[in-house]
Amino acid sequence: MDLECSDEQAELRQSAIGALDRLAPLSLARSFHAGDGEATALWRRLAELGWLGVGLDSDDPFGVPGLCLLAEQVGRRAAPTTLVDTALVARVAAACDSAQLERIVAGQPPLALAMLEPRSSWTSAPATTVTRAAGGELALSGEKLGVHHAASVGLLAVLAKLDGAPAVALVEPARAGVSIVPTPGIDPACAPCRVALHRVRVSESELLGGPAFAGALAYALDVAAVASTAEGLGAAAAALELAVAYALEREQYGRVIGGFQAVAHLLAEQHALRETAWAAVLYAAAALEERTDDAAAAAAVAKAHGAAAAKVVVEGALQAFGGVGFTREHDLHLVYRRALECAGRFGGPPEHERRVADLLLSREPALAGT
Amino acid sequence: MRLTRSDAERRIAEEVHSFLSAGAADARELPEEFDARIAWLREWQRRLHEAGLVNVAWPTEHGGRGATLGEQMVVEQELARAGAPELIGVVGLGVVGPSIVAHGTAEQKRRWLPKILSGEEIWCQGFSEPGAGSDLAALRTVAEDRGDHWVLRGQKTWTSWAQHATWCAVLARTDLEAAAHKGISYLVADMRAPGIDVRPLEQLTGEPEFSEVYFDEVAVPKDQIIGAPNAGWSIAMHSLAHERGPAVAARAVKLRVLLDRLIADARRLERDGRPVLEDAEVRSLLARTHIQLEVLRCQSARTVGTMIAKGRPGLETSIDKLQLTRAEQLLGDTALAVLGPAATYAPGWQNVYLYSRAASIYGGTSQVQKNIIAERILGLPRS
Ligand SMILES: Cc1cc2nc3c(=O)[nH]c(=O)nc-3n(C[C@H](O)[C@H](O)[C@H](O)COP(=O)(O)OP(=O)(O)OC[C@H]3O[C@@H](n4cnc5c(N)ncnc54)[C@H](O)[C@@H]3O)c2cc1C
Repeated sequence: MDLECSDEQAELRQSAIGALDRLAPLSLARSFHAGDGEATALWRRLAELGWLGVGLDSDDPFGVPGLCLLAEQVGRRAAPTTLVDTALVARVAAACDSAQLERIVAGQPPLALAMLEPRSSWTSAPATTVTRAAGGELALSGEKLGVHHAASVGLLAVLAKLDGAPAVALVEPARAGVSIVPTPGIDPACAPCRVALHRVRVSESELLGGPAFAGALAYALDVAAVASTAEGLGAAAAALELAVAYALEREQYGRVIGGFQAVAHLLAEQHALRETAWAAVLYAAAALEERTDDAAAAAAVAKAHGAAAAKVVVEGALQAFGGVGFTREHDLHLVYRRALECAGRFGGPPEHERRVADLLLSREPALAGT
Repeated sequence: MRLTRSDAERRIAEEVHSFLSAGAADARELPEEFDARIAWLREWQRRLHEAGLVNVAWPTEHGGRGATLGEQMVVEQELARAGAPELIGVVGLGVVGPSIVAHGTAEQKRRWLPKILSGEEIWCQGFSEPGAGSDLAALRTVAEDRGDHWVLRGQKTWTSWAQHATWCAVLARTDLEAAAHKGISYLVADMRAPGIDVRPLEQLTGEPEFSEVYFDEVAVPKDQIIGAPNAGWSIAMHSLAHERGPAVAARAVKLRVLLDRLIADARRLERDGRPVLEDAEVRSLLARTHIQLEVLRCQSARTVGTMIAKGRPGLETSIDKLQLTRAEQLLGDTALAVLGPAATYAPGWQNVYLYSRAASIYGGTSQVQKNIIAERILGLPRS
């Protein structure tokens, strides 16, 4: 087994660093906290670079690991994007052979994922429903929560029940019956919204569904879970770098605080946790790309460990900063919040740990790959 | 990235299978009694080497196959999965041997490597002393230069397998004037030489796996030094990096087998008329243990990859060692918690638990690994 990035993947990472340093400095995330965030230039560029469709084609040299490398850089800057959400919807659209795929990956328009509901988890069957009227007209009704950037994208991908089975409806936010209310969120740079849908008209061509849907959604959710873990670990890496730099500069008792072993060991533990979690992300991403037998289990392992690790890392960074870490003035909270948001997105450690238990204990043979 | 095995890796896995199916050793026949078990394990390593399956990544001219480290890992995985016993020559194979491969003379390699592979000669690692554990550079064992040989004086401790070893890699001070790290040499003492006294110590598990070793005016010929005189420190660090890196990867496979066995044991167990595996807390513990072992496997694979690329293990092996500790100790906790009385009042799982407590001590304590990460990777000041 070899978890080293290929030359192409390493180059992708370098271009992501270059592009995001320019287009998504931490000040962009900060502007969302102030309520005057505007990221359309960033979204246009991500689409132009082809990154919304990264890893989709089978001859793409980047694969799911490529998506994770991009997501990590997004997380490092707490950049306001729907990169991972779009990757999820694009994978479902591709598996359903939908004509919508092209505009989704072209970012024409940018898209938001409306999946979670007020009284459900990420894997619950949706209560939101598409009903068929007598004349064959379709209407979408329900309520969604935690829809990132819903107020500024041009398309909502709404998970709903259609004829008793799950499907995704693609509707514009401006359509009659759609109301969008920004909500507080642990990470304001994600601009989370509540979306209410009341008898919103939908056409057949705007629906992703059919026999391939359920399997495609399960796979795409695993991809998104791993990619959001990568994003959270990117945020954690940035928090740790800030904390290490601070520990080398801040003096107390006449010496830099990084010289106190309690602080040094805290930072060392965080580094080790982040590295091990990143290794698990790389493995899960490669397993999903190759669709190995243990891919779903590997995704659950990466999410359960990676989300918990990212949280421990940013909490430790906060501790290393002392009082200044507890302010909004310092940049730390920007990445701190991103790590927390990512930890719960697509299911947190408890849900994924339960999945691991079910997969591990339901059958005799060992789950570990080779 | 590549998850599937290469053709060469698949071929060598098949070779292991056909070796095992031709009636290889059955770990269930492993004798209980310590000395009998050592003899049995030596015989097992001899047969495995005869089949060419020990340390296949070592150079061909010294009894290996010049295979990749990846192929070597595959052999270890397949053996562990089949429930094969551990190799008794671990210190020679995984800790001292790699430093002989990297730093030994042609003559030393000819002399020592083939017998490390066959298990004919067991090695031990004489690094720690009563006054020098974590602070290894404080060691006081002295090797005095007498022209054509050195004379060793001092005491080592916690020396694993010493009572069965033919050779001991001894860190000794050869320049008393030099700074702590600069006056140390990496010598090889013959355990049969006059003046050596080995006193086995009973470990927490009840077994005499490590010993105190006393050196009272022990003569060591001049050709029994690895590397140059006074250059032993960096070679010792090389040995330790192997103990924390590739050796951890091999241990990870064994832990995986233990978890599978634990699940199989738990599957047959009922408490209060209910299958133990239906208990939510039990499921959660087993899942967490699986997660930490999988994370260890991924982390190890990454380290081994870096090692193949750079030709030597690096500082990141301290992360592997910490993760091994986390996973192994969690496995021990889980075994006791899940099996309950079935583990507490029986030798097998109890020993797995007790042995897991050594993981945060040997090969450098967890605190020492964190010091290495803090100072050498993160660049924080020395504490
Ligand atoms: C099962 C087993 C097998 C072993 N086999 C071998 C072997 O074959 N050959 C060999 O040479 N050695 C062997 N060892 C010894 C092992 O390497 C040492 O025990 C280890 O390095 C710690 O040294 P010590 O026991 O002297 O503890 P000490 O160094 O005295 O440490 C005691 C405590 O203080 C802490 N501490 C010490 N220094 C620091 C510091 N700077 N910062 C923070 N905390 C610190 C330690 O973490 C530990 O918790 C073995 C040990 C075990 C348990």
